[in-house]
Amino acid sequence: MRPLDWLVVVAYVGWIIIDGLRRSKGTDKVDGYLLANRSLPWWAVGLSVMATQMSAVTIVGTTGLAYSTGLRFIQNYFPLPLAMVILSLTVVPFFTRARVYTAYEYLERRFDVRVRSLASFLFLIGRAASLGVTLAAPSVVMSVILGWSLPVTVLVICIPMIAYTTIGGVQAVAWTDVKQMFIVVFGMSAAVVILLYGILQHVGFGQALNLAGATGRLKAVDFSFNLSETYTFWSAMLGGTFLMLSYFGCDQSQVQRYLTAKSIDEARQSLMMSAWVKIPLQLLILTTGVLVFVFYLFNTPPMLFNRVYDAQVAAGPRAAEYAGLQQEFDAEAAARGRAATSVDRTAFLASDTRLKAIRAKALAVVKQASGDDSYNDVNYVFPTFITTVMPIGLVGLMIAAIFAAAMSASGGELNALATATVIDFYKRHFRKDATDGHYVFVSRLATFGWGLFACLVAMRAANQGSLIEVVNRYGSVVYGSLLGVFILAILTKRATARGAFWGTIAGMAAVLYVYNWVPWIAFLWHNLIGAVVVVVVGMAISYTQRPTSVGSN
Amino acid sequence: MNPNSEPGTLNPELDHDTPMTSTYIQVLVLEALIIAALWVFGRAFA
Repeated sequence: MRPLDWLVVVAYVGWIIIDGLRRSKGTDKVDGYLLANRSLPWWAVGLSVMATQMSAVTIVGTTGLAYSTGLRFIQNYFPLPLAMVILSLTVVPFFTRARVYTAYEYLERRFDVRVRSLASFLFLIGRAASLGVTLAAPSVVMSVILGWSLPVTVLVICIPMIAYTTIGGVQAVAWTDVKQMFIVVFGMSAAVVILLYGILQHVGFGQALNLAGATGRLKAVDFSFNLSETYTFWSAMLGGTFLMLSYFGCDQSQVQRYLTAKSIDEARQSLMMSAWVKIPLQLLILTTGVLVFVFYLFNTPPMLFNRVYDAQVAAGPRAAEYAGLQQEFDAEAAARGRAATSVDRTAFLASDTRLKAIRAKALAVVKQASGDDSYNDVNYVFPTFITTVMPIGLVGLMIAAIFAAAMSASGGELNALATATVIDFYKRHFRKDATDGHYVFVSRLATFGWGLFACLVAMRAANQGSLIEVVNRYGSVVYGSLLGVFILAILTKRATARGAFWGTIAGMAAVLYVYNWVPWIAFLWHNLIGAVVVVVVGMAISYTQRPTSVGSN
Repeated sequence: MNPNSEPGTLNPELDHDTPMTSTYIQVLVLEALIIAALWVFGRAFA
């Protein structure tokens, strides 16, 4: 990072914060603070929906995942357009006409306050945990670049984000998201251009694709039906559809985005924007990761991208062994590069396999020397590329994009956590008839409190494998059950409050059982399992009761 | 906040609800084409 890069970072982050604070006008009323007075245009809501989902985790974690495994993660997004269509037809008009602040308010009207509180509580624990991970991603980046400790890095990112979200509310969040989306797309496109330029110095475009394809990194669609395989077409279209329906339809951090739209039409158009753009956008990000892999075929990569324990390993008893592995790695990387350039597919694949083995040994040495069993380097791949290869100015822009992505995505989640806390718990159970000013004050306090909590989780989450998977794993524990209770509420008339409540408890119990004791089932299936158990148990219990009219049970 | 008021109640534009069937069909067709293209692409360079 050179002075110009730092200038770009400081200028961009400063602009985000100042503009966010400027948006605090009109947030003295609850409608303004939590729903932007339902005044936002569809394109701003649409960009905000995508930005809330596409955090710094997406930039750092997804590119790292694509570097290691290729495009197959794209399958995770296959159900998104279908889910958006279903949600546009069902919950968007439903929630808008219900005039709710949170999705869970509706559950009290349909069932009772216990079901509403339970669903809101599930959202709070699931979202609070994943918010910490969302913040951890840019902290990882900064740790690599500056050698700062993780707690310091987390605080440097959290403090501005908490400040503008607490003061500016949902309007600050939404308009920050709009800026973020433009800067991320520009930054990733610039990275692709630079990668292509670097690769084409050595081989043609077709040969680059052949090399990536030979290692299986261009296999985006896997039609095998294997419950233990994380990303397959079927796990995405079955488990993933439930995840998307639940995330965009029952998660307050998304529902609150489209509740800020001017009308049902505009809310629908905002979701359709995601339906059109999300898969191509994710392909851009995943392709960047694959291109980073191809780039490092012709430029010696670091043996391990995460250098945090370098000094510790060098000073430890296995220093000589590690240095030997480094020499072996450098020689093999050169051999792989020669095989790649000479289009010798067999030699290239054999060399790539040997390199993987050397990396695995090095990884084991570092884990043993550092005592850190969770050590990995997936999330360090793209940040390393940015800081060591990209030209001056663009480095700053990319780092600014990662910062902004973390802040705006976390801001949306923070805002939603505060809304659910205040509307579903504080206002519902403690102070029903306070003034607008009081609720806005409590909402700001809740935003601040959740921000601090997220910082603490972020400090714990940074070393848990690929961050994008960690987010989805956390979410998948609660999302299926949340979707199940909304299915009972919206699609059935026979479900009763008791059935919905105990069905939701059963769904959570089933998912937690599978999560802990059947680990070979990939996490996307947890969404399907949770939703099905809630509906089956909920309906079974409901049928043991006498039918009651909707809204009165 | 007035406990008897509901957010957005005063905005008559809020309930504007126009069918978007053709958009939904276009979105799903595009998605199918993208999946097919990715499958062919993966096989071509395997």
